[in-house]
Amino acid sequence: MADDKDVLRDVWFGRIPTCFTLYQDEITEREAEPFYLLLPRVSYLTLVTDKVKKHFLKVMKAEDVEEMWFDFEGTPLKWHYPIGLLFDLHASNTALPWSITVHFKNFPERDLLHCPSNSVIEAHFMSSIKEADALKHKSQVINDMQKKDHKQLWMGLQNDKFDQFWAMNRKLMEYPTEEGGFRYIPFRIYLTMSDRPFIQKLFRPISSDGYTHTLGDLLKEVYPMAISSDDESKRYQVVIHGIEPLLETPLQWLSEHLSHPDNFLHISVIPAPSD
Amino acid sequence: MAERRVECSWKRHVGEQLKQRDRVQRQAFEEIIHQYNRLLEKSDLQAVLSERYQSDKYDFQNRHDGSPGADSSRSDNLQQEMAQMRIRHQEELTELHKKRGELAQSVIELNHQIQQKDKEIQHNEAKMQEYQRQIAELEGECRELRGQLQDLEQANQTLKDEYDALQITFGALEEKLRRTTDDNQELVSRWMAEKSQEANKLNAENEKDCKRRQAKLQKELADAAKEPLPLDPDDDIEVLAEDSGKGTREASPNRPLSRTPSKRISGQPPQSGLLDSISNIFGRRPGNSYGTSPENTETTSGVCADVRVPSTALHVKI
Repeated sequence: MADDKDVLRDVWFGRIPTCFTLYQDEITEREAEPFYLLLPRVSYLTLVTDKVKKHFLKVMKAEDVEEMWFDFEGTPLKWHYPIGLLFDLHASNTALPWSITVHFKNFPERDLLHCPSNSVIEAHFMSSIKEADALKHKSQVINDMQKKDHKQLWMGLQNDKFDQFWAMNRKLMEYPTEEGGFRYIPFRIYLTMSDRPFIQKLFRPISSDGYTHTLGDLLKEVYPMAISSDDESKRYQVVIHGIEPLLETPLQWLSEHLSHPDNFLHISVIPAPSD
Repeated sequence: MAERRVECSWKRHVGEQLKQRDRVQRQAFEEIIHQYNRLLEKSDLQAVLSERYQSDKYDFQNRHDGSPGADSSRSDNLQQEMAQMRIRHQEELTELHKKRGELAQSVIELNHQIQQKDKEIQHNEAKMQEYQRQIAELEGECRELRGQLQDLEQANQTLKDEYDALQITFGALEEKLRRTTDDNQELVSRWMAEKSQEANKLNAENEKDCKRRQAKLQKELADAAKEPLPLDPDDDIEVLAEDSGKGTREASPNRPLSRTPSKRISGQPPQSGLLDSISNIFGRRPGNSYGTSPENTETTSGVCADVRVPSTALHVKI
């Protein structure tokens, strides 16, 4: 359906306006101007911030530069989360553009993973895809693909090539017609106020008696607090790719169309704005 | 119908929400950020250029410091120099543009080469996999053959052992046979010896017996011969004539009975009667003999029969 293809394109080409400001305590030779960038929602911070690094290195001495890292309002940003997820989770209801602070020293070892090169990002990305396919197809589809197909998925993401990526990714979105959907839906629910990083459980898109599960069913099963009852005001927003899908949206359709390139549905549950 | 409307509603909702999001987050900022980055580039370039201009300007100023001249001429010179510098920088700029084009070209070529190399690598990897598969197959075959070889060697060894065992058994049995044959031969020869001994003994005994009988007979004959016999010459001739005429036909019992009591005792030539009795003892038929006595018929039954010398003398046939 034309609608579905539009949805896929809109998800892929989503952007977040970001303002990168150098941390004030960093040592500079002269004043560093902020750097503005439209970050792709579906990519990863360390993959798309080469220009940021180049911009700020112009005003710094080489010996003062270690691994670059980012924070938002004091929270170090995990580069291995997709950018769109980081924004929805931390800065959904703040003013645009998204203000990120750039650091070159005092890497927070306990909060962030190191990212020495792009191959680390590739390894992380591919491992997420394989985990998702293990849930969807018992890894049959991903294992049937050749190495060059895997490479094509990564290159498509790295070079922002929608057609190249989806030429391969559509195979991972197929399912046997008699099943009606994937075996289990690969999803992760992120909460702002929680000690654990995310909720991930086994959940079938179609029940044993053929009933299609919705986003609401998933939340009721896995995190019922997200759904407020009718009488009380909405406490939480359930955000995927910066939008709030209706709770009756089928989970299978969401997994096929609103997953990130790593084939996971990253769902943020954030407090509703109290204005 | 209701289902499709419902389906449309949430799908439409998602589509609309995405468009809304893009309007707010992307489109509102896209142009501004783009222009900002262009300005940033320009200002960076200007900063670099002005630095260079400054340094060049100072160079020129230092070189021309010593020359006298009016301010205006100095400023004219300055302007000239600055124009020259600008020209030079323009040339550099065009040079750099050209270089950038060339580099872009080489990037394309290198990409193309990389693609080709990737293809080659894939091809080689495929070949390698094929070789590895063959190697695995051959290794499998090799293992199988080695296994078969081992089995055959074991079987061979087993056969050899059995053969050795059989060989030993055979030797033992041969030995046993030889010994048994020897024993058998020894036993047979002993038995034969004993039997021949027995036979010899019997023969010897028989001979002894015969000799005894013979001796006894001889003795009796000798004894009988020694007996004086009264002889009557008339009787003698009579007897002899009758004998020659009808001797063979007539039954012997009648004749002897008629004659013997009187004549026989009177005396016959002892030798003739003895000869007859002797020959009768030793197997002559009653038909052949003349004047046989009843004792004679009895005595022809066997060699070992009881031998009796007749009590009376008998007719003797010549």
